[in-house]
Amino acid sequence: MPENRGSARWVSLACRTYAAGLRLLPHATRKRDGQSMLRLFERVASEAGEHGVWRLLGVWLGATSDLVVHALRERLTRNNPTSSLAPERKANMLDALMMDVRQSVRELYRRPLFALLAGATFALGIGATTAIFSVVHAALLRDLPYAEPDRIVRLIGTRRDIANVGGTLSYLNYRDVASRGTSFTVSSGYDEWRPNLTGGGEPLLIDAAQVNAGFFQVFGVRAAIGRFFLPEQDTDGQDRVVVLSWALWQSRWAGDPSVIGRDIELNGIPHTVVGVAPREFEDPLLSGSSWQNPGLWRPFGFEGLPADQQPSRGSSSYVAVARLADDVTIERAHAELASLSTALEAEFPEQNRDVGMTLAPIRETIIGDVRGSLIIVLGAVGFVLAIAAANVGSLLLGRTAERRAEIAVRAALGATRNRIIARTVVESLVTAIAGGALGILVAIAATRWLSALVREFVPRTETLGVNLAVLAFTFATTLVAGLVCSILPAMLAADADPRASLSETPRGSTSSARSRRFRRGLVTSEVALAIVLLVGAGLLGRTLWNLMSVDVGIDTRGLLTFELAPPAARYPDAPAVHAIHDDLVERLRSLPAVQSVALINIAPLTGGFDCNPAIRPDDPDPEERICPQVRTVTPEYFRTAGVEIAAGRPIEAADRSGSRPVAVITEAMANALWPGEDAIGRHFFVVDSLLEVVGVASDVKHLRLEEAATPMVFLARDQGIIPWHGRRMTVMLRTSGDPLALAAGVRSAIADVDAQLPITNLRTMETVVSNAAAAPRFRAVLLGSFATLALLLAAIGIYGVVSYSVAQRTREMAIRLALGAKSGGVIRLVLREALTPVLLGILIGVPAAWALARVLATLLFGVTATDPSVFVLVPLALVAVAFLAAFVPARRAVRTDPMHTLREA
Amino acid sequence: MPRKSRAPDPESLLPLKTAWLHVLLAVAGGHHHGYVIRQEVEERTQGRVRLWPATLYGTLSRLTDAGLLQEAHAPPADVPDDDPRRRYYRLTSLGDRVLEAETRRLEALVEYARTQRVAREAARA
Repeated sequence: MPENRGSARWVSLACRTYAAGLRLLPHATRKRDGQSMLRLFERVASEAGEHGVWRLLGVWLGATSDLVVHALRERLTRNNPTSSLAPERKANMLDALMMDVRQSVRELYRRPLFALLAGATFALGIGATTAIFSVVHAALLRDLPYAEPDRIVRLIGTRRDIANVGGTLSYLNYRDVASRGTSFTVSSGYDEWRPNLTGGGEPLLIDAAQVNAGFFQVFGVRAAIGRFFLPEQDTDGQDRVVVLSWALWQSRWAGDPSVIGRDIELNGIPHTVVGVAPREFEDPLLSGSSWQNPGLWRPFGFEGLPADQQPSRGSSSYVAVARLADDVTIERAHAELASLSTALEAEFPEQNRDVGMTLAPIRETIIGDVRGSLIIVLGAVGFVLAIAAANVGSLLLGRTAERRAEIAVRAALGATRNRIIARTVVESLVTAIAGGALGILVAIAATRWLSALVREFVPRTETLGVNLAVLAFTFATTLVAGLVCSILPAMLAADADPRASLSETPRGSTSSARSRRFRRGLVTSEVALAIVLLVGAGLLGRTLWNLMSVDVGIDTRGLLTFELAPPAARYPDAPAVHAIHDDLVERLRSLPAVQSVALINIAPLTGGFDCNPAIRPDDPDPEERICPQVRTVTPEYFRTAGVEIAAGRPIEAADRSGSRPVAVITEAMANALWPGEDAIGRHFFVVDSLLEVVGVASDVKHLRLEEAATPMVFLARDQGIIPWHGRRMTVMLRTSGDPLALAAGVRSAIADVDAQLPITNLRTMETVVSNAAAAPRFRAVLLGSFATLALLLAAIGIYGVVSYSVAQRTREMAIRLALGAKSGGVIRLVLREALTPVLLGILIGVPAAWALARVLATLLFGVTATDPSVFVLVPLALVAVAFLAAFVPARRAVRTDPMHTLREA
Repeated sequence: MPRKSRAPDPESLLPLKTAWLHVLLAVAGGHHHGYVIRQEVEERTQGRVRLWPATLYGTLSRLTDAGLLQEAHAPPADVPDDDPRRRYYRLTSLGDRVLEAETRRLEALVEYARTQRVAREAARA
């Protein structure tokens, strides 16, 4: 049954492409016969579809090529009265061309091994290139779906004293800058939001965002239905409205337009749906912690709030976007921002010391981080394609050399040089097109595999696939590859001297000297390209390896994590939230194989960021204060996560409200505040609370695997030191068995406590760590695959050249052997000839790789761009592969009986 | 029919292109629309001649332009009309004469080839 459905999809795809192909016909012909042709094709295709996809492919190829030829003929003979060529002459040229095509196809049938090798080589090269291009197209080339996207900028918070704060800024600073400045026509703050959506289906914790009323105007998009926010909806009391994303509207309300005006419950509070964003709208995902498009947006509603309920000026956790006014350049906006933030710093010296603001085009902030990686990967796949083309070129050279006698005959019979060249080019193009068609299938399979690899890392790739733009690229690539491949064979063919070629025996050793020289040149360039790829893959592979062996600071094996956020409507205050959390922890602890359970507000490497300045009471120079990551945990945390306590004690159950406020700090924090001294018993301030250090824990990675040790503070949840911590918590379970085996038990335990409580991001800690290496993995896996492919292609190329040259020289070798040469000597002779171009390729490739590796320098971790081991091992590996590829045919040459060979000749 | 007076000499259209001959034969054999023409030719030639849509309709159009076929939107009396969009073809009298002339030409050719074979075999024996 699924097979039938699958074939129906292919049939419909075939019909659609055929229908598109009808456009090739001149208008009159299409009008008269187009519909009939399509109907006939549909009938024939669906019959073929019942016999399987291959039959369908045959019908599609047959009918499409027939259509193309027919269309060409119609256009040439009917519709072009201005051309200087008589229709008859053009038709003759077309016939000649078609004859070349037919002969080439027949030739491919007659030599299945050549066809398979050349076609598969092209298919791999073109397929890999197409797949990578589909990613590049989706992420970089596709237009951003905004009006005048180049006028949209992101405002970025900066700090003079702390680098790398993530670019977030204070909401109040943003509002002041936006209202005082003249650079922007409209702007909006932005903050991620994870409300619990209830009513109309299962409770759902959704990715959402809070924005200002002007958010959608910044992007210049129009609502699909309903409208976007009104200015007054920024004001508290009027802010209970939402705009739905197209995807959420479809999945939860099945695209029902009557959703407009309806109330939905978010965290238990009713909100009125006012509009639906257009299908193509892409949220710029400004918070950067997720690539999931938000399901809905709501206004902040900060206006009109009393000052103590507005976000504090010192809390910089917001992002902002703006649209530049028409006559304002980005430089001018930049200058204005600088002067405005200097003024704000003077106005609020307490909260705004060292705080500044800058801006960047939105395109940069969306894809800036991955552009480099994508270009590197595209470059790498280009190398693979070049190697593939060199391989096919080499095969074609061999074919042309074999056909010299035939070419000579044709030349002698009066075929012009152009006709002979055309035949060679057509043969190459036919092979390339067959390979390109297969390559599309390769690309379709590869993009499925790729989409899993890129989803965590490359934005805008949610709908990755082979679309029309990608197909156009494939077609162009195929033609270029086919033409490039035919250059050397065509040169060889054009030189055919009828007399010389005819008078030689086909086994002559000199006739193909030029072909051999060309092919050796191709091997040299393949090896050089492969070296560059292998070096890149080696460096990135070692980077990935180093990252994966980084000590995260916790024991990731046997750890299951998930997030819980009891909604404020039903759990209004901290005691209620703590009660349900504790109830859950008790239940989870009683599950089989669970060893311990703990809560933390932000688990390591999950993208969360919460830094608060820490100040020593005796601090003479507040210039040196640091901004440690602050985490709130339950007592079991250190045991559950496997964080080592280097000195003192962990957080304990006795650390509750009323007892003296304590903190466990990491070694990096201790070194930053009290370098070289014992930190236990010391005090420091965080958010106005004076904390006593009771323990020092070993360092834990918090944002990235490659980061240096980050200062961190752990606080007791029950002491409630950070008022906004404690509701959204990550639960960590340590188990003696497979963590994922617990998932069902976890879900039912939670449903027992509160069936309305959604649970998100249920995954093992090992998955979390592995996701943290998504970007390096993307680069390493792709470059590794390409390098392997390159090595394989280069080996095939070397094998092909050597076995061809051995076949050509069998007679010469037989004579040598018959005259007493040792077989070892003959093998050495062949190997020397085979390895010379390889060594030459290494001589070119190593310096090229040396130069190109610098591009990777910023992406490496724990290995330098000139790592000696990589630069020694890669050439050695290539020599070994080349040796193997050459040895097989060389041995075959000396194994045949020389007398037999000579008699044959 | 005014066209008849200007009708060309059937001989001037010979020899027929392969596709033309096959299509004329199919239509003459009572196959009146695209799909069955294609089917008939493919079966008769055991799959050696396949008329893909563009070639088939190109041929039908050219045969119609040359006056060998006539197009109608209603089916002949004995064929059920199961698809109103379908186009039906029938042989014109010129088409009939051209097919007849081509058949005679081919017969003569085959006859000549046979006598040659007999002569060759005799020489070999």
